[in-house]
Amino acid sequence: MDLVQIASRWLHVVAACLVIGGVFFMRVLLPMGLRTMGADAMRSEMYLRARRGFKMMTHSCIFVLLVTGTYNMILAFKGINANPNLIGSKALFHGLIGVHLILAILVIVLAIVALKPKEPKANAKGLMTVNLVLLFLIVATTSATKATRDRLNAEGARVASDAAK
Amino acid sequence: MAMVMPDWLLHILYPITGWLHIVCTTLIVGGTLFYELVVPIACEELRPEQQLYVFARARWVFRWVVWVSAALLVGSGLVMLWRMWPVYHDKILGASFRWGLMHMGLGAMGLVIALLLTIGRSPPAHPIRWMRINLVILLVVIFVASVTRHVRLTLSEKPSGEPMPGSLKK
Repeated sequence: MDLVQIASRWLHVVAACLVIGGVFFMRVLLPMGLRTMGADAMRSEMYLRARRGFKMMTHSCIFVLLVTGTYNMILAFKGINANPNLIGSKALFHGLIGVHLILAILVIVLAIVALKPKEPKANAKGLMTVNLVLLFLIVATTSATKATRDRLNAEGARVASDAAK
Repeated sequence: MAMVMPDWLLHILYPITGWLHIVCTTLIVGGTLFYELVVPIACEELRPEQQLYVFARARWVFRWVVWVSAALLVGSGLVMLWRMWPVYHDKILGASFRWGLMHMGLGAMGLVIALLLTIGRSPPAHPIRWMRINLVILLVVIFVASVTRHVRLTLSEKPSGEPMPGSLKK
């Protein structure tokens, strides 16, 4: 059971790395790398091929993120609710998870819309930029959720320890 | 640090360092995976000399990401280590320390390889092989981080009803 939990968290982080790193590479690094390549036709052909690979990768990652994310969320709620030492407010923790979920759904919809056509539309670059910013915001909510959970556990432990004395 | 910085500043600093650590990880690991998985698909129909040109260009633009991310990973990692120090020295929660140590050691190894691959005008011998080895190391680093957190959370949230000693704030 422990191994499944660890593997689920690991898969979630690796899939997130692939998506965020991939969007950054497609939006920022690849256009910079292709800028000095000779013919326009060859450049756009290469970009399209990279986009096809990126699309396959993104769709697989979305699936992994949804499955592992649901499982991790259930575990997090169980962990927080089962902790007898925890007396602080859980509202912030729950709220942050809610924001994380909403942003994740938005990013998934945007990614599917941006990658759906065989050739990128005029607004594809803008959509990718918005997606990259939203992905960084999602990571921020994750970080805040982690800090809140640690804080709740630490304060719970401190109060319980004081009570035991 | 906790002594010289007010609580409210620490509450801002800790999530920000956590955010930086994850963002830099996604850029290095995701970028390397992208370099490994997608760039070869993009240039499979090019002539060998064109392929080499594309790989060299991609390496050139990727290297500033690696350098900036490596510096920020080390900085944010040190802040997180400072924050976790009391937890790692706790009798019970300290069980996660050996995993944290492994995370730091392997992470340092991965960063050194990434830096060596991007420093200089030309890559070292067998760059693709080194990149694959580094990718495996980086994935193991994330796995070990996951284990460290799991051990710490399991110990601090176990429903035994006993008060857990050790906390981030005394």
